[in-house]
Amino acid sequence: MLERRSALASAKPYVSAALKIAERPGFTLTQFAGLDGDFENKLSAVIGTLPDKVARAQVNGERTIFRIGPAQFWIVGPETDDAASRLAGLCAVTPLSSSRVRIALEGAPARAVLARLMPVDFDAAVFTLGNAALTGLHHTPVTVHCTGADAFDIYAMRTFALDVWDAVTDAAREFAASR
Amino acid sequence: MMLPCPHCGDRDVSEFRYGGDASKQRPQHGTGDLQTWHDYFFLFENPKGPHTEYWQHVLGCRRWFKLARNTATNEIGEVVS
Repeated sequence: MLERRSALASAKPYVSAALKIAERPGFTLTQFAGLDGDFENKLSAVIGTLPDKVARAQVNGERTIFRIGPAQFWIVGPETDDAASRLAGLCAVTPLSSSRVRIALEGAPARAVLARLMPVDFDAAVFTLGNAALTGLHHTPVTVHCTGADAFDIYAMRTFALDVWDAVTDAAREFAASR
Repeated sequence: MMLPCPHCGDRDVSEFRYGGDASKQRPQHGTGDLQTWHDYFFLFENPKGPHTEYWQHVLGCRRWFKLARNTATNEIGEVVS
């Protein structure tokens, strides 16, 4: 079987006692879009509850759903997710798994690091578990998802993966074990 | 400056791309002389005060919209469409 090659295979590892930054591979990302008025009903009949606003991601079992544009959703599921085949023909289905990398940050300094990189309020009282933001990091679009008290996933374009990795780990240098 | 994306809500201006003066009327395709098209493409007003302009939430939902903005004060008005 063909193995997926990480876009971050050559990235310089980040080591810190307080903050973990690592690629989190092993996901399926698919975009679903529809133009007819019934699109969201069709989608929720298969997928379950949809997020009602952009700023909140909806977790249904193993799937996380983001509302990423007008009549556009991203579904992040396990590698074996069959959402795409179950929705084929009902709406426009675009596989994006190989176009994005997922970088996870976890630890107390994570919010401070993110705040240096993106024009989003990452305060613990504002950007809470389940919040999501479509924003930009180093001039490239990224999606940020709060997955825990101080845990975040960044979805970045594969072609910019190293650049985004460098930007994130540079912003976190002061928390690194050695400089 | 925060801009009101009709899809994502109030977002920082650095996530947006300016798309130009939205009050300009594009000449009908195939009509007008070269001067008309020259003026449409190359001549721009530089108004001080109320302005209607195109913006795209390029680092967010990619949506285009028209926005009323005062170029003298950066006061943001309604999303026109």
